[in-house]
Amino acid sequence: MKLNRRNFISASAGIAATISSPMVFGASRPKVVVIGGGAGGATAARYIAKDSKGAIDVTLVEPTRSYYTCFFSNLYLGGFRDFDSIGHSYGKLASDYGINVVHDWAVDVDSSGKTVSLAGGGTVNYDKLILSPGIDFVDNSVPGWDLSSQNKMPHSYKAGSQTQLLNAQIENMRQGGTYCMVAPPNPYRCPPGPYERVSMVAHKLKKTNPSAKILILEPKPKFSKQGLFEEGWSKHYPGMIEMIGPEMGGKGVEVRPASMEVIIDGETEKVDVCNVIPAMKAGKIAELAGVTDGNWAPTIAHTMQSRKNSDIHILGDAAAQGDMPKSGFSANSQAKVCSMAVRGELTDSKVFPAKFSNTCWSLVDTNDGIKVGASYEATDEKIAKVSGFVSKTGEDASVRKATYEESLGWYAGITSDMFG
Amino acid sequence: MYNLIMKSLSLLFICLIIYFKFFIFAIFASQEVSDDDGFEVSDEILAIVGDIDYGEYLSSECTTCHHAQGLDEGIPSITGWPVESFVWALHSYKSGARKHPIMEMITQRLSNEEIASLAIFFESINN
Repeated sequence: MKLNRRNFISASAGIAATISSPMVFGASRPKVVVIGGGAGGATAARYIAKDSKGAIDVTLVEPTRSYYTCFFSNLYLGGFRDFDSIGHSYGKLASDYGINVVHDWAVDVDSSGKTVSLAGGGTVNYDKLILSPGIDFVDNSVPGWDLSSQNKMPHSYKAGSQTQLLNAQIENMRQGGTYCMVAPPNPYRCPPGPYERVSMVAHKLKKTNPSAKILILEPKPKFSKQGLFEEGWSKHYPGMIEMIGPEMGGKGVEVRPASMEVIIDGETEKVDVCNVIPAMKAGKIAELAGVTDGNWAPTIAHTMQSRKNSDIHILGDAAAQGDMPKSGFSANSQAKVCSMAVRGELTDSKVFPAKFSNTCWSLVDTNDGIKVGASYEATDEKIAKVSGFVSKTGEDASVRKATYEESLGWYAGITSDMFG
Repeated sequence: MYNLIMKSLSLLFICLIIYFKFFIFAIFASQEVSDDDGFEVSDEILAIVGDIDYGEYLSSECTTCHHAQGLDEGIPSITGWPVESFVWALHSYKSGARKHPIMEMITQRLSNEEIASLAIFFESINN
C-alpha cells in the first residue's frame, strides 16, 4: 500500500473499528462502509475492494444471507424462473474480495462521529459511508394498508418471502377469481415492474385458471412501456385484464385486508388476491442518516455524494438523482461512478468523468420481451438523460425473442457484476 | 431444346450459389466480426493505442450486461477479442452500419480513444 498524506491523516484520526477485515494492510487502511447489498451496494463494495486491491477496508452491512433480486422475481411468478435461481449469497464477496460482510441491520448513523450502529449491538466506523438501502413504503399511502397487513395483501416489491407468498396466493386462487393490483404512484422502483408482473400473472392464470380476471387500479395517467404492454395484453391475454385509471377511481383506492375488499370511487369490490404496491420512499436508514429531503436523498451526479453530507454517498432507488429510473441496472451503473469517486478521495486513484446507462427488459409472454433504455451524463444539477430507445409495437417475433434472450444474458452479467 | 434446358438449369444453379453465398454472408455479418461486409475502419482509427486503465474503468459499463468472465448466453462474450476486431465491431455500431439499439446508444458516446481503450482492456481478459 502506498501511504500518502490523505490516508495517513485518515488513519491517525481514525478510531479502531469494532468490526474489521483481516488486518493484512494494518489498521491504517481507510474504511468504507456500505449499507445494503443489492444492485447498488454489492456492486460498490465489490468494485472498491477489487480496484483498490486491498488498500481500502470495505464492510458491507446487509441483513439477508441470501439475497433475492427484485428483478426477475416477476419471471418467477410467471413460472419462467425457479425461486432459487434469483437468490445469491455474499460468499464470494467475502472470500474473493476480502469484503467484511456483516449480516445485520444498520439501525442508526452518527454522521459527526462517523459510526454506524447495528441492530445486534455493534458499531462500525467509516471514512466514507455508502447508503444503498432501496425502498421503504410511505405510511397511509393506501388507506387501510400497513405492514401488518402485508401477509393478507402482499406488496411483493421487495423480493423474498413476499414474492413466494404472492405466488402461493395466485396459485391457490379460486377458479374465476380476481387478482387485483393497486399500482404505485410515481416515483417508484422499477417503472415497468408492476406491468411486467401483470403480464406474468396473466401468463400463469391463462394456463391454470383461464376464467380468472386481473384488475389494475392505476393512479397514474400513463406508465412505462404502456403501449407495448397493452398491445401484448390484448394479443396474449384477451379479455383477462381490466385497468381502472385515475379518472375512474384508480387513484385514492382504499383497502380492507380483513374482508379482502377494495373501495374504488366509493364502490366496494371483493377480490381474491390483492397485491398492494404502496407509494415509496428511500430506505429508512437514509432518513436516520439525515440525508433525505422529503421522501428521497438528493445526490451530486458527478460522485453520487449526498448533497447534505460529503462523506455519505447514496445509490439506487433511495437517491434523488435526476433522470434515471429507479432500477437495479441504474443502481449498478451509479455504483461504478461512486466507487471511482470514493477511491479517488481515499487513495488518490485516477478519477474519470461519470457516465451512466440503464436498460429495463420486461417479459410480456413466452419469448415476447420488450426493453427501454437510455444513457446519461452528470451535470452540476442532476444525472441528465443523453439519449434513449424503446422497443416498438408490432415488432417481429424474432426481435422479441432475441430481446428476451438478451435479458437472460443481462441477468447473468449483472449478478456476476454484483456478487463476483 | 436440350441446350436450352441445360442453360436454364445452369443459370438456376448459379443463382442458387449466389443466393446461398449471400445467405451465409448475411448470417456471418449479423453474428460475427468480419471485415468483409462493407464496413471499414480507417487506418487512423486502428492506429490509436488505448489506455488500459481507462479501458478498465469504461469496461464497467459493459459488464453490467456482458458477463465479465466471458459467459456467452443471450449476450455475446466480449473478452479476449483481438484489438482490431473489437475496434471494428464497436465502430460498426457507432456508425450505425450494425444495428442494435443498446450498442448504438452506448458506442455513439464513446470517442475513438475510448473505444481503443476498451479494446486493449478486453483483449487482456482471457478466460
